[in-house]
Amino acid sequence: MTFGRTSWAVVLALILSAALGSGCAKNPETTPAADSEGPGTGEIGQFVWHELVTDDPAASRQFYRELLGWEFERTSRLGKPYSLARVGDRYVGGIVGVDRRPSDENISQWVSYMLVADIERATRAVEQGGGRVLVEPVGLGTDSRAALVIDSQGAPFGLLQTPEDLSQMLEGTIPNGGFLWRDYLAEDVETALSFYANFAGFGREQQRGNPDHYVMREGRGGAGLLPIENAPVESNWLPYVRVEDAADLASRTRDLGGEVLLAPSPEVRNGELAIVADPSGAALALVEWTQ
Amino acid sequence: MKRYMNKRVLALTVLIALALVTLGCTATVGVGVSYGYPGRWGGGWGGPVYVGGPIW
Repeated sequence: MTFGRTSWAVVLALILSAALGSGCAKNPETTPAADSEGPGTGEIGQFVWHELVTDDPAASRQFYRELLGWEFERTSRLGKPYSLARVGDRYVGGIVGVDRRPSDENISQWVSYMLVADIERATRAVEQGGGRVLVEPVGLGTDSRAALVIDSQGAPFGLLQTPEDLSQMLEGTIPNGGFLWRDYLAEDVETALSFYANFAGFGREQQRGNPDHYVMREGRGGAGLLPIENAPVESNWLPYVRVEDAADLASRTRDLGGEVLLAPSPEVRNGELAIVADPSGAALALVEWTQ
Repeated sequence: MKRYMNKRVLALTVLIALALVTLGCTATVGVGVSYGYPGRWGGGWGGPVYVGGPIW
Protein backbone atom coordinates (compact mmCIF):
# COMPACT_ATOMS: atom_id res chain seq x y z
CA MET A 1 0.00 0.00 0.00
CA THR A 2 1.39 3.41 -0.88
CA PHE A 3 0.58 6.63 0.87
CA GLY A 4 -0.31 9.49 -1.41
CA ARG A 5 0.34 13.13 -0.67
CA THR A 6 -3.25 13.65 0.46
CA SER A 7 -3.08 10.71 2.87
CA TRP A 8 0.07 12.10 4.47
CA ALA A 9 -1.53 15.48 4.86
CA VAL A 10 -4.51 13.90 6.61
CA VAL A 11 -2.24 11.94 9.02
CA LEU A 12 -0.19 15.03 9.87
CA ALA A 13 -3.27 17.13 10.40
CA LEU A 14 -4.76 14.49 12.70
CA ILE A 15 -1.59 14.29 14.83
CA LEU A 16 -1.29 18.06 15.22
CA SER A 17 -4.95 18.59 15.95
CA ALA A 18 -4.84 15.79 18.56
CA ALA A 19 -1.90 17.54 20.21
CA LEU A 20 -3.51 20.95 20.17
CA GLY A 21 -6.80 19.58 21.43
CA SER A 22 -5.18 17.41 24.09
CA GLY A 23 -6.82 17.43 27.51
CA CYS A 24 -3.46 18.40 29.00
CA ALA A 25 -3.82 21.86 27.57
CA LYS A 26 -6.45 22.47 30.22
CA ASN A 27 -6.52 21.52 33.87
CA PRO A 28 -8.28 18.31 34.80
CA GLU A 29 -11.97 18.57 35.71
CA THR A 30 -12.45 21.77 33.76
CA THR A 31 -15.94 23.09 33.25
CA PRO A 32 -16.85 26.52 31.95
CA ALA A 33 -17.83 29.11 34.56
CA ALA A 34 -20.99 31.01 33.73
CA ASP A 35 -20.32 34.30 35.43
CA SER A 36 -16.73 34.90 34.54
CA GLU A 37 -15.62 38.49 34.88
CA GLY A 38 -11.95 37.97 34.21
CA PRO A 39 -10.08 36.95 31.10
CA GLY A 40 -10.32 33.31 32.23
CA THR A 41 -12.82 31.67 34.54
CA GLY A 42 -12.01 33.41 37.80
CA GLU A 43 -13.33 36.71 39.01
CA ILE A 44 -11.12 39.74 39.22
CA GLY A 45 -9.95 40.23 42.81
CA GLN A 46 -10.36 36.56 43.64
CA PHE A 47 -7.41 34.75 45.21
CA VAL A 48 -6.77 31.80 42.96
CA TRP A 49 -3.40 30.29 43.82
CA HIS A 50 -1.04 29.83 46.76
CA GLU A 51 2.65 29.33 46.61
CA LEU A 52 5.24 28.61 49.24
CA VAL A 53 8.52 30.43 48.76
CA THR A 54 10.96 28.54 50.93
CA ASP A 55 14.69 28.23 51.49
CA ASP A 56 14.24 24.50 52.11
CA PRO A 57 11.87 22.96 49.54
CA ALA A 58 12.79 19.38 50.45
CA ALA A 59 11.97 19.80 54.16
CA SER A 60 8.81 21.70 53.28
CA ARG A 61 7.61 18.99 50.91
CA GLN A 62 8.22 16.34 53.54
CA PHE A 63 6.38 18.40 56.16
CA TYR A 64 3.28 19.03 54.06
CA ARG A 65 3.25 15.47 52.76
CA GLU A 66 3.18 14.12 56.32
CA LEU A 67 0.90 16.78 57.79
CA LEU A 68 -1.65 17.40 55.05
CA GLY A 69 -1.23 14.38 52.81
CA TRP A 70 -0.14 16.42 49.83
CA GLU A 71 1.41 14.62 46.88
CA PHE A 72 3.93 16.41 44.73
CA GLU A 73 4.73 16.65 41.06
CA ARG A 74 8.27 17.82 40.46
CA THR A 75 8.38 20.22 37.55
CA SER A 76 9.89 23.61 36.71
CA ARG A 77 8.66 27.17 36.37
CA LEU A 78 10.56 30.21 35.18
CA GLY A 79 13.69 28.10 34.87
CA LYS A 80 13.68 26.87 38.47
CA PRO A 81 12.57 23.61 40.11
CA TYR A 82 8.94 23.82 41.14
CA SER A 83 6.76 21.36 43.05
CA LEU A 84 3.05 21.21 42.36
CA ALA A 85 1.07 20.07 45.40
CA ARG A 86 -1.95 17.86 44.86
CA VAL A 87 -4.77 16.48 46.97
CA GLY A 88 -6.14 13.59 44.92
CA ASP A 89 -6.39 14.98 41.40
CA ARG A 90 -6.83 18.59 42.51
CA TYR A 91 -3.89 20.97 42.45
CA VAL A 92 -3.80 22.99 45.66
CA GLY A 93 -0.56 24.97 45.58
CA GLY A 94 3.07 25.14 44.64
CA ILE A 95 6.49 25.22 46.26
CA VAL A 96 9.42 27.15 44.87
CA GLY A 97 12.88 27.52 46.36
CA VAL A 98 14.68 30.73 47.19
CA ASP A 99 18.25 31.28 48.34
CA ARG A 100 18.74 32.79 51.75
CA ARG A 101 21.88 34.79 52.30
CA PRO A 102 23.52 34.47 55.73
CA SER A 103 22.40 38.00 56.61
CA ASP A 104 18.77 37.37 55.71
CA GLU A 105 16.01 36.92 58.20
CA ASN A 106 13.55 34.15 57.64
CA ILE A 107 12.30 34.60 54.10
CA SER A 108 10.05 31.57 53.79
CA GLN A 109 6.39 32.40 53.45
CA TRP A 110 3.17 31.56 51.68
CA VAL A 111 2.21 33.96 48.90
CA SER A 112 -1.44 34.28 47.82
CA TYR A 113 -2.06 35.22 44.18
CA MET A 114 -4.93 37.52 43.23
CA LEU A 115 -6.47 37.40 39.78
CA VAL A 116 -6.23 40.70 37.89
CA ALA A 117 -7.50 41.73 34.46
CA ASP A 118 -4.50 43.81 33.42
CA ILE A 119 -1.30 43.09 35.28
CA GLU A 120 0.52 46.19 34.06
CA ARG A 121 -2.28 48.41 35.34
CA ALA A 122 -2.43 46.42 38.56
CA THR A 123 1.26 46.84 39.35
CA ARG A 124 1.00 50.58 38.72
CA ALA A 125 -2.04 50.71 41.00
CA VAL A 126 -0.03 49.00 43.74
CA GLU A 127 2.61 51.70 43.46
CA GLN A 128 0.03 54.48 43.40
CA GLY A 129 -1.42 53.02 46.60
CA GLY A 130 1.93 53.22 48.37
CA GLY A 131 3.08 49.66 47.67
CA ARG A 132 6.03 48.39 45.70
CA VAL A 133 6.64 45.95 42.87
CA LEU A 134 9.15 43.28 43.91
CA VAL A 135 9.05 41.33 40.66
CA GLU A 136 7.74 43.01 37.51
CA PRO A 137 5.27 40.99 35.43
CA VAL A 138 6.81 37.87 33.97
CA GLY A 139 5.39 35.59 31.28
CA LEU A 140 4.53 32.06 32.32
CA GLY A 141 4.90 30.34 28.99
CA THR A 142 1.30 30.73 27.90
CA ASP A 143 -0.68 33.96 27.84
CA SER A 144 -0.49 34.13 31.63
CA ARG A 145 1.62 36.68 33.50
CA ALA A 146 2.47 37.03 37.18
CA ALA A 147 4.06 39.64 39.42
CA LEU A 148 5.03 39.86 43.07
CA VAL A 149 4.20 43.03 44.98
CA ILE A 150 4.02 44.40 48.51
CA ASP A 151 1.21 46.62 49.70
CA SER A 152 1.55 49.90 51.58
CA GLN A 153 2.30 48.03 54.84
CA GLY A 154 4.88 45.70 53.34
CA ALA A 155 2.71 42.59 53.02
CA PRO A 156 3.64 40.56 49.94
CA PHE A 157 1.06 39.12 47.58
CA GLY A 158 1.02 37.91 44.02
CA LEU A 159 -0.83 39.12 40.94
CA LEU A 160 -1.89 36.75 38.19
CA GLN A 161 -3.34 37.60 34.81
CA THR A 162 -4.43 34.52 32.93
CA PRO A 163 -6.92 33.45 30.28
CA GLU A 164 -6.67 29.88 31.59
CA ASP A 165 -9.60 27.87 32.83
CA LEU A 166 -9.20 27.91 36.63
CA SER A 167 -12.39 26.05 37.41
CA GLN A 168 -10.49 23.01 38.64
CA MET A 169 -9.29 25.13 41.56
CA LEU A 170 -12.30 27.37 41.98
CA GLU A 171 -15.25 25.02 41.74
CA GLY A 172 -16.45 21.99 43.65
CA THR A 173 -15.90 21.14 47.28
CA ILE A 174 -12.59 22.23 48.72
CA PRO A 175 -10.99 19.04 49.99
CA ASN A 176 -9.21 18.69 53.30
CA GLY A 177 -5.73 19.94 52.50
CA GLY A 178 -7.06 22.59 50.10
CA PHE A 179 -6.87 26.36 50.57
CA LEU A 180 -10.10 27.73 51.95
CA TRP A 181 -9.61 31.36 52.93
CA ARG A 182 -7.07 34.05 53.76
CA ASP A 183 -6.97 36.91 56.23
CA TYR A 184 -4.98 40.07 56.07
CA LEU A 185 -3.29 40.62 59.43
CA ALA A 186 -3.07 44.37 59.65
CA GLU A 187 -0.81 46.57 61.72
CA ASP A 188 -2.94 49.50 60.54
CA VAL A 189 -6.52 48.45 59.84
CA GLU A 190 -7.70 51.65 58.13
CA THR A 191 -4.68 51.81 55.85
CA ALA A 192 -5.15 48.19 54.81
CA LEU A 193 -8.89 48.51 54.21
CA SER A 194 -8.29 51.62 52.16
CA PHE A 195 -5.48 50.06 50.11
CA TYR A 196 -7.47 46.98 49.12
CA ALA A 197 -10.66 48.97 48.55
CA ASN A 198 -8.84 51.17 46.06
CA PHE A 199 -6.80 48.39 44.53
CA ALA A 200 -9.32 45.58 44.25
CA GLY A 201 -12.66 47.06 45.20
CA PHE A 202 -12.73 45.12 48.46
CA GLY A 203 -15.37 45.95 51.05
CA ARG A 204 -15.23 46.27 54.84
CA GLU A 205 -18.08 44.35 56.39
CA GLN A 206 -17.59 44.03 60.14
CA GLN A 207 -18.65 40.76 61.64
CA ARG A 208 -21.57 40.79 64.04
CA GLY A 209 -20.31 39.83 67.48
CA ASN A 210 -16.75 40.07 66.23
CA PRO A 211 -16.22 43.66 65.08
CA ASP A 212 -12.45 43.28 64.87
CA HIS A 213 -12.86 40.90 61.96
CA TYR A 214 -13.79 42.33 58.59
CA VAL A 215 -14.84 40.54 55.43
CA MET A 216 -13.26 42.30 52.48
CA ARG A 217 -14.38 39.84 49.84
CA GLU A 218 -16.95 37.09 50.34
CA GLY A 219 -17.05 33.55 49.05
CA ARG A 220 -14.59 31.35 47.25
CA GLY A 221 -11.23 33.03 46.89
CA GLY A 222 -12.37 35.66 49.38
CA ALA A 223 -10.53 37.42 52.16
CA GLY A 224 -10.91 38.92 55.60
CA LEU A 225 -8.94 41.28 57.78
CA LEU A 226 -8.08 41.48 61.45
CA PRO A 227 -5.88 43.78 63.50
CA ILE A 228 -2.56 42.62 64.93
CA GLU A 229 -1.74 45.31 67.44
CA ASN A 230 0.61 44.05 70.14
CA ALA A 231 1.50 40.87 68.27
CA PRO A 232 5.02 39.88 67.11
CA VAL A 233 3.77 39.79 63.55
CA GLU A 234 4.13 42.25 60.68
CA SER A 235 1.31 42.94 58.26
CA ASN A 236 0.85 39.92 56.04
CA TRP A 237 -1.57 37.66 54.24
CA LEU A 238 -2.26 34.43 56.10
CA PRO A 239 -3.81 31.61 54.06
CA TYR A 240 -6.06 28.98 55.64
CA VAL A 241 -6.08 25.31 54.71
CA ARG A 242 -9.10 23.15 55.36
CA VAL A 243 -8.35 20.25 57.70
CA GLU A 244 -10.35 17.60 59.47
CA ASP A 245 -8.81 17.95 62.93
CA ALA A 246 -6.77 21.07 63.66
CA ALA A 247 -5.83 19.96 67.19
CA ASP A 248 -4.49 16.63 65.95
CA LEU A 249 -2.39 18.29 63.26
CA ALA A 250 -1.08 20.90 65.70
CA SER A 251 -0.01 18.13 68.06
CA ARG A 252 1.98 16.50 65.26
CA THR A 253 3.54 19.69 63.91
CA ARG A 254 6.56 19.81 66.20
CA ASP A 255 7.48 16.17 65.56
CA LEU A 256 7.47 16.95 61.84
CA GLY A 257 9.95 19.81 62.29
CA GLY A 258 7.45 22.65 62.36
CA GLU A 259 6.29 25.01 65.07
CA VAL A 260 2.88 25.81 66.53
CA LEU A 261 2.36 29.58 66.41
CA LEU A 262 -1.19 29.50 67.74
CA ALA A 263 -2.36 26.35 69.48
CA PRO A 264 -6.04 25.42 69.26
CA SER A 265 -8.02 26.76 72.19
CA PRO A 266 -11.74 26.87 73.05
CA GLU A 267 -11.71 30.69 72.81
CA VAL A 268 -10.67 30.65 69.16
CA ARG A 269 -13.27 29.08 66.87
CA ASN A 270 -14.03 26.37 69.42
CA GLY A 271 -10.56 24.91 69.12
CA GLU A 272 -10.96 24.31 65.40
CA LEU A 273 -8.12 26.59 64.29
CA ALA A 274 -4.35 26.40 64.61
CA ILE A 275 -1.56 28.43 63.09
CA VAL A 276 1.64 26.56 62.38
CA ALA A 277 4.99 27.28 60.78
CA ASP A 278 6.63 24.72 58.54
CA PRO A 279 10.31 23.75 59.04
CA SER A 280 11.41 26.72 56.94
CA GLY A 281 9.34 29.16 59.03
CA ALA A 282 6.39 29.84 56.71
CA ALA A 283 3.11 30.39 58.58
CA LEU A 284 -0.13 28.69 57.62
CA ALA A 285 -3.51 28.48 59.34
CA LEU A 286 -5.27 25.14 59.65
CA VAL A 287 -9.01 25.33 60.09
CA GLU A 288 -11.86 22.88 60.30
CA TRP A 289 -14.75 23.66 58.01
CA THR A 290 -17.99 21.74 57.84
CA GLN A 291 -20.31 24.12 55.98
CA MET B 1 13.61 8.84 -1.55
CA LYS B 2 10.09 10.20 -1.40
CA ARG B 3 9.06 7.58 1.18
CA TYR B 4 12.19 8.41 3.28
CA MET B 5 11.26 12.10 3.23
CA ASN B 6 7.73 11.26 4.28
CA LYS B 7 9.03 9.35 7.33
CA ARG B 8 11.18 12.29 8.31
CA VAL B 9 8.25 14.66 8.02
CA LEU B 10 6.12 12.29 10.08
CA ALA B 11 8.79 12.01 12.80
CA LEU B 12 9.15 15.79 12.92
CA THR B 13 5.40 16.20 13.18
CA VAL B 14 5.23 13.73 16.07
CA LEU B 15 7.99 15.64 17.87
CA ILE B 16 6.19 18.96 17.38
CA ALA B 17 2.98 17.36 18.61
CA LEU B 18 4.70 16.02 21.73
CA ALA B 19 6.22 19.44 22.41
CA LEU B 20 2.81 21.06 22.13
CA VAL B 21 1.30 18.51 24.51
CA THR B 22 4.15 18.99 27.00
CA LEU B 23 3.77 22.78 26.87
CA GLY B 24 0.07 22.44 27.47
CA CYS B 25 0.60 20.05 30.39
CA THR B 26 3.13 22.13 32.26
CA ALA B 27 2.05 25.70 31.72
CA THR B 28 -1.48 25.76 33.06
CA VAL B 29 -0.95 25.60 36.83
CA GLY B 30 1.58 27.29 39.07
CA VAL B 31 3.55 30.50 38.99
CA GLY B 32 7.01 29.98 40.46
CA VAL B 33 8.15 33.52 41.24
CA SER B 34 11.13 32.99 43.52
CA TYR B 35 12.03 36.08 45.47
CA GLY B 36 13.55 36.50 48.91
CA TYR B 37 11.56 38.88 51.07
CA PRO B 38 11.57 38.94 54.89
CA GLY B 39 9.00 36.66 56.51
CA ARG B 40 6.41 38.45 58.60
CA TRP B 41 6.11 36.23 61.65
CA GLY B 42 8.36 37.01 64.58
CA GLY B 43 7.24 34.09 66.71
CA GLY B 44 4.00 32.73 68.08
CA TRP B 45 0.80 34.72 68.00
CA GLY B 46 1.23 36.23 71.47
CA GLY B 47 -1.28 39.00 70.79
CA PRO B 48 -4.93 39.55 71.62
CA VAL B 49 -7.41 36.71 71.16
CA TYR B 50 -7.19 35.60 67.57
CA VAL B 51 -10.38 36.44 65.69
CA GLY B 52 -9.64 35.37 62.10
CA GLY B 53 -10.89 32.54 59.97
CA PRO B 54 -13.10 31.80 56.99
CA ILE B 55 -16.53 33.41 56.68
CA TRP B 56 -18.55 32.34 53.66
